[in-house]
Amino acid sequence: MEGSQGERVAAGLAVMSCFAVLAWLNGRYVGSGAGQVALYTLIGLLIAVAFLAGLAGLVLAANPDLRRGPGYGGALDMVARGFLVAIPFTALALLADLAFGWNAATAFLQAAIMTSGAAVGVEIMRRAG
Amino acid sequence: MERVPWPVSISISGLAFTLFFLQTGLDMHRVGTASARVAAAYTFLGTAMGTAGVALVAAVAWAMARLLGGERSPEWTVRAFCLAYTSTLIFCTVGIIFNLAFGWNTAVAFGVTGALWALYPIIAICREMTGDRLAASLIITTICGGLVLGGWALLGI
Repeated sequence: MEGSQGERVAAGLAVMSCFAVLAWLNGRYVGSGAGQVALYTLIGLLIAVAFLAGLAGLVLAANPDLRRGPGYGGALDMVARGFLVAIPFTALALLADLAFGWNAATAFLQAAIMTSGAAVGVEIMRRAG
Repeated sequence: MERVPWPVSISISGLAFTLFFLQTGLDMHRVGTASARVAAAYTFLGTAMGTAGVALVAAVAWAMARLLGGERSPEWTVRAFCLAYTSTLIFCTVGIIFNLAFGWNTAVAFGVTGALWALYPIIAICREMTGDRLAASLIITTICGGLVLGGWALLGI
């Protein structure tokens, strides 16, 4: 695994924060009232956590070196570092939604997920040498 | 990067934003918030945004990377930023087809999405310019993306 334990925790928290913000922005479109928006945000965040954990499982299953070495923690680390790419998308989604009033958070979320997925692939290849 | 002639580089981002703003104008014209003349004017604004605008954003990125010890030239940075909008060009080309053929409003679905897809190559460019510093690259990319979106918003769209 690359980086210190603190860096890995920070990367994981940053990615979770991004998904929480994106889930909140999207929850505002479908929910009416603070309670519903909070519920949709929580559901969105849980889906994101499940998706990232599943993706890390796939990365682990497809990588014998990872299974022999760092294990699931290493796979989660790769996924989290790849998904750090979601940070600019999240910041720009906030800008677009709150400052410019565009209802486009879904476009930002989709682009963030697809781009971050590609970044995870690059991270895997980079570590494989 | 030096092997790509600069007219080719700047044509890619220029054409991408021209098509992006053309779709915006067409969408606005379709819903009755812009005349045909205004829609045409947006197209020219797109050309300006995709050429001079992208070059200015690249210059900002170059200046920030320079502060962090980046050694890439301004010319390299402008070419790289222009080429980063290749995916935007593809999205906008497909978008204009759907816009004209089926009458869809495509500025957000294809235009904004296409512009967002340029962020990943821009992150890679910033990593190259900052000696692979991920945090700095993410910050520079966010600022550059904000400038492009802000430019689009400032133009009254």
